[in-house]
Amino acid sequence: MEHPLLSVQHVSKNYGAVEALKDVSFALTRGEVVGLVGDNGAGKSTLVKCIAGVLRPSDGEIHLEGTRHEFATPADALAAGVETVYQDLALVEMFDLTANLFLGRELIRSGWLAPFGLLRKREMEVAARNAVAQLPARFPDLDAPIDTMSGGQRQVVAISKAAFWGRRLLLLDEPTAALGVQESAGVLEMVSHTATRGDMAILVIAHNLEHIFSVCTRVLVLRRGSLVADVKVGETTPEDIVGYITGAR
Amino acid sequence: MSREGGAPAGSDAVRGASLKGTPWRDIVLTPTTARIAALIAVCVFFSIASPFFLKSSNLLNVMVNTVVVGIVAAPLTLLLVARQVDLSVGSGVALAATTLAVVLEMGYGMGVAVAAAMGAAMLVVVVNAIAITKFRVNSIIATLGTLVAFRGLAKLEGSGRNIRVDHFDFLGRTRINILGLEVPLAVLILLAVLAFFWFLMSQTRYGRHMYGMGANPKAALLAGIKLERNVVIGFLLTGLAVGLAALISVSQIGAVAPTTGQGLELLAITGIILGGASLGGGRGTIPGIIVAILILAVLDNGLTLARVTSFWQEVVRGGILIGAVALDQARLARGKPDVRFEL
Amino acid sequence: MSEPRFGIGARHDGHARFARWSTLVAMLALVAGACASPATSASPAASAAPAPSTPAASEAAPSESAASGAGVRIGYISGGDSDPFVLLVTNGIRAAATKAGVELSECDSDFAAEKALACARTLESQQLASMINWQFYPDSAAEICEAYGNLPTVAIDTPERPCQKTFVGANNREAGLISGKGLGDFAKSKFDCVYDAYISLDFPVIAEINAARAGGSKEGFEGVCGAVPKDKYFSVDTFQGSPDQNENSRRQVTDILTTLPDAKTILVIAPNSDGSALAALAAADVAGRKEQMWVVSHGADPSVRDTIRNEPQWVGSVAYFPERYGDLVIPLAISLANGDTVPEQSLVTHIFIDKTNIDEFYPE
Repeated sequence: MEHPLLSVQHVSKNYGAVEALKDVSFALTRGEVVGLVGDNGAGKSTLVKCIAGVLRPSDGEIHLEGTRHEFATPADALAAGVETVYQDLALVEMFDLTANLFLGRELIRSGWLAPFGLLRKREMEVAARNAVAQLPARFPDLDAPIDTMSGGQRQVVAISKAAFWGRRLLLLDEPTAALGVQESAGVLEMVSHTATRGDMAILVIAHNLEHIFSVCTRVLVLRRGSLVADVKVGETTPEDIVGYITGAR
Repeated sequence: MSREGGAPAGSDAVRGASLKGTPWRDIVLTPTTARIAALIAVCVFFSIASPFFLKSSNLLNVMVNTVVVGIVAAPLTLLLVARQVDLSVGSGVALAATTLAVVLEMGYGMGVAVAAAMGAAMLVVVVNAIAITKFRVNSIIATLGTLVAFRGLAKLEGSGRNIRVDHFDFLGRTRINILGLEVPLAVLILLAVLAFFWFLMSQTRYGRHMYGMGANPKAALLAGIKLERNVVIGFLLTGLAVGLAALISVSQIGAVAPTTGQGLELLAITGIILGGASLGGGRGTIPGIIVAILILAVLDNGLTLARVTSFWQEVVRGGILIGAVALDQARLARGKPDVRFEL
Repeated sequence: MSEPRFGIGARHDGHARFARWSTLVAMLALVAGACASPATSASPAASAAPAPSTPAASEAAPSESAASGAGVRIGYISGGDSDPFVLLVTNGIRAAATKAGVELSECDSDFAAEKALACARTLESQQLASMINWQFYPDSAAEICEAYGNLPTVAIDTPERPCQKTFVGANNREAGLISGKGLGDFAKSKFDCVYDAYISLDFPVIAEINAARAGGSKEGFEGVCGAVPKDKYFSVDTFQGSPDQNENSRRQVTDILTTLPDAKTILVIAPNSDGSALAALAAADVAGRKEQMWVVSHGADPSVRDTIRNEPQWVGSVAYFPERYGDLVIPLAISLANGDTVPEQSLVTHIFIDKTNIDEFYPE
């Protein structure tokens, strides 16, 4: 049997006496879009950070395609094909789209100039334009610093960057949190579009259950650090989910 | 899946502010053009105020006066772009210059003395780097500390004396004939240093990472950029520049004093901020600071040629620093970016 | 999420907050540094070393004090040992104290009145018999004097009333006159007083002393060669913008030379230090015009003694004899400690040192 893309096994995270995550286990397969919901402080961000290599779990294991991984730094996770879009986007406002796309992974010339890390600017720009052309979104000026873009546009930039590099797993932390109705729709469309590639699994944290239900096929519910529900979207309702979140169920 | 033609419903949502239709004013009246205009204005003013201003020998002198400041300002721009500062450069110059003089006095050869001077400059760098990366001291505080400590060390080393340094004319006093102009070697060295840092900051991955670190350190960290290593490299480059500046300074003046280099960091930072670097990091280019430092040097030169009292010169220079910082703060508060982050 | 440590606040607004905070700190620090600096090394020769005014007297004094100084406790507030000149004096005082068997309690006021006050308070507890006071601010003298218990005081270079019982100092005006005359005599014999420029390397930030020295220099010069025409007179502020006198001198002299393309004879007088005169000559050298410049400086600092000897363009330097201060000051302080009467003032006898007499005073 093929290994699941992501297998989280009995992961716990403690901060001293505080148990942020308690024995969380679940699996994701390729092509899935899975929602992660829970009340504030339930442990959603903590879980994502553990998978993204920002935090180290106190206990438990994380497997990607059958192989155990221990991420010491975010760079390790990136190298393993795990891309994360954080709540504050972690984009450099002063950079344009191309520079942001390639941040930390710039294309450089080989040969005798290699140690200097000479940038291959033209190639990066071309690659960025190509990537953007594939997207459902439109950007009026690709050369502008992303400062000049709206919140929704920036979110799309961040997600497209993750989609560009991601090979296995995409983690999205509250992608629609600060956006209005229209912009959220655009972002969700972006997520669906990425999922149709079929090569990655996507985990989406959100508070808005409508958003979750519109793009996800499965929902995980965290409550006080424990996984209290793992249900298919087709087999449940938003009311049920609320019940899981609050503990009524 | 690619999309052609019109975007489907919902994607209109992500269309936002467009640069199409930006008034030409915002594109032409950038800080860059404003600076160049200021330089031209100042040059025009002084060419009217003094018949000597436009002489080629005077213009070369102006450039000579920018050499020590310029060599030190270049790596400082790199550091400031990454949201770090090094306020100890003046003291580093003093320590390196004093070391050179003292080692020569002790009877060692020029080669040994130069090596010792560079070593002294790197010593300051090492202390700065350790304080900032190992002990996590904010770079302003750390380098303020080394500014004081190493000035004291230089005074100790030289026993507080004014020390003559003979037979060290080469770097500071040689002129090379280029197309009929007697170009000082020191100016050529400055140009080489500036070219190096321009290249580093605008064409290499290292330079881009430094911009990223200054603009958004969190994003840089999450992107896998090695913050500490890059900062250390920046300080190492600063140390080399400080050593070189010290050698040229001694060569130009022929002596070392306990006050050598004092005030250098203030002048360099005035030039850098005037040149577009921001105390918040993420901004600033070498071409920008070249223009700014030229403005300051032309002001100094012009006011002297026009025989203006020195106190007025200080008022002008101080006023420029205040104005430049105020503009920088205003720009930060508005959140308005330069159109491009690199020239 | 681990915060990167250098960047305080990775968010956009935190960015601006950091920038504002750091600007404030940086500006304050730089301004503080800049304000502190002019004081440092303010006067290259601000404190004149008392040269033996009457050789007989000075020879007599040391031998007396050698016997009577043993065990006497004397305080010394230095003006600022970071200045080369002051340091020379301090070293001389220390040496003389050791020779006389005096127990010297020192404190460095580092060109700041507040520090001098702190020094005074510290020294007050040392049970001293008399004080050598060299802090630079006459307006604070009364307060400082009270702080060290109104001990009888030998004042160096700056009036320290009311505790001052004797004053030892540079005769700034006399030094100026001598230097001016030295330059004038040279100009007369060599050029018949025909010159193109008279550049004075000044330090207006210490107004009184500068006026006495620079003014005295000009007067001494004019006594030989007549009035200096206004268009030939240049005053350079060697503290302009920073305390780096050498660099300030080099830069401004370079610019002045540019305005004098046809000049053949350029006279430079440095009432503030030897170093700035060296720097001026270096500037001329870089411009390829060293042979046109003739230099006189104040101080005769060790760094220029070779130059006085060997550099043809160096006319001479006025000696302040900082190293001999101690031999005059310590005996005076001992006398005060013993309750003896002392002369009201002893001013340095400045000597114009040039190639003809340097070996007499500073043999190699």
